[in-house]
Amino acid sequence: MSTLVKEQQALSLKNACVEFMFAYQLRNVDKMLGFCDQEGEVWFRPLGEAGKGKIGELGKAIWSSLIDCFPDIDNTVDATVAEDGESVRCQVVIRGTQAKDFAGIASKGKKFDSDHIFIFHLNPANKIDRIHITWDHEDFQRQLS
Amino acid sequence: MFYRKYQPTELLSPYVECYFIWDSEGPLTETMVVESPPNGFCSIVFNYGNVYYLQNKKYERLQVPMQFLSGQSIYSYSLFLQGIIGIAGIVFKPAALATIFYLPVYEYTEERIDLYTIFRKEVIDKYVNEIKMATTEDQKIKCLEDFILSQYNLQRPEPDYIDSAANIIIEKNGMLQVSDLVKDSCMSRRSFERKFFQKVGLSPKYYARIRRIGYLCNLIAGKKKVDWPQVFHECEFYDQAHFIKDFEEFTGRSPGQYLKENTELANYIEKPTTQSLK
Repeated sequence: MSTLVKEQQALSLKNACVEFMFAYQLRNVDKMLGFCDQEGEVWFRPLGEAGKGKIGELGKAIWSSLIDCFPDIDNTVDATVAEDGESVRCQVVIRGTQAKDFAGIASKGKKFDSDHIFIFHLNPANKIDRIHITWDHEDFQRQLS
Repeated sequence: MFYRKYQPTELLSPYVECYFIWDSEGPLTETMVVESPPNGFCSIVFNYGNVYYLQNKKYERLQVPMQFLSGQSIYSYSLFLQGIIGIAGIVFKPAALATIFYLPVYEYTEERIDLYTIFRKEVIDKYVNEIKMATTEDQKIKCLEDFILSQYNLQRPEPDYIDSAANIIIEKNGMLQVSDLVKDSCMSRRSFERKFFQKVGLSPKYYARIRRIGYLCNLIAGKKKVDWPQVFHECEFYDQAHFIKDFEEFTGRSPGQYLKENTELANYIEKPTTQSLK
């Protein structure tokens, strides 16, 4: 029975992750960060070690830049699955049209549509303190070039 | 052993896809493994037989609660059954758990949640006991229907466009343009997707993909030989690559492997037909 109660707590954590994605949809970085511990870790995994940093620094910079370079950036949450006691996996489709150069990719005004996996970890205060994000970066680059 | 499906009464047909009873009519002589692809439905289940276990992408071996709510599955899962199988359940239309019970369905994806953590103990005790005591299938089905009716009368649910849109995806077996549903919804795509996610637990496009794979697996269930090009054309896949990608993503195996190895219920019994309530 105690395992089940713990499982229920894990499930309720999904709400913060879904709200984070909805804030991303609104292109509101401050609201996104409001669901997070700013000191927490973010890792944009396809970027390797360069994609690792603090949510309130690297995360803020990359999301702000994405919104600036892809002004119509939008997402659709396909599914959320509670992974273990404190982690939630969100399957998300992110799409947008490039209006400015981004991360070394010159703007050709092209659109991208890319499956992303966000793994969120939440602390006991229900704040997101770790985000690992995975996508097919080669495909992303190919779509924009 | 039998697996029978029953139609709900007209009042509940906007919410209930069917009721079912799966009964081994005596103890199994050995462990039975039954697998299922994701089918796009949530359910409430009462187990009046022996405990069984579930394996999916998340759980290696989960002891399934004796009475539980099953959320949307997005991957295939297997059940490991021993002893006596005695299971009575309600299969819901995709948005019905949110419409009738106001439940946050996206919380339940890939889960089996004990009903005692969702409903009041005395409510669940009543139906657990009644289903155990029922001596005929009809009595068991009536218990299930009474359970839903009591909730229906309490909540007085009002289905909205999301209920209809999700039901259209079911009726068309996922073979439709979600953009047409958005157009008819008088909502922005974003609002439609958000409301759909909150009531069904998945995005509409993803849900349609799951539904189509569920339908496809039902077409090939129990068969040893399949005309794949015909199947993927019948299921309106854009091309073979899309078909294989979706099939592997949701079932975890290639179509050929699946056909060779799958242990769906259709391998043990004849495909059930839906019966009317007496």
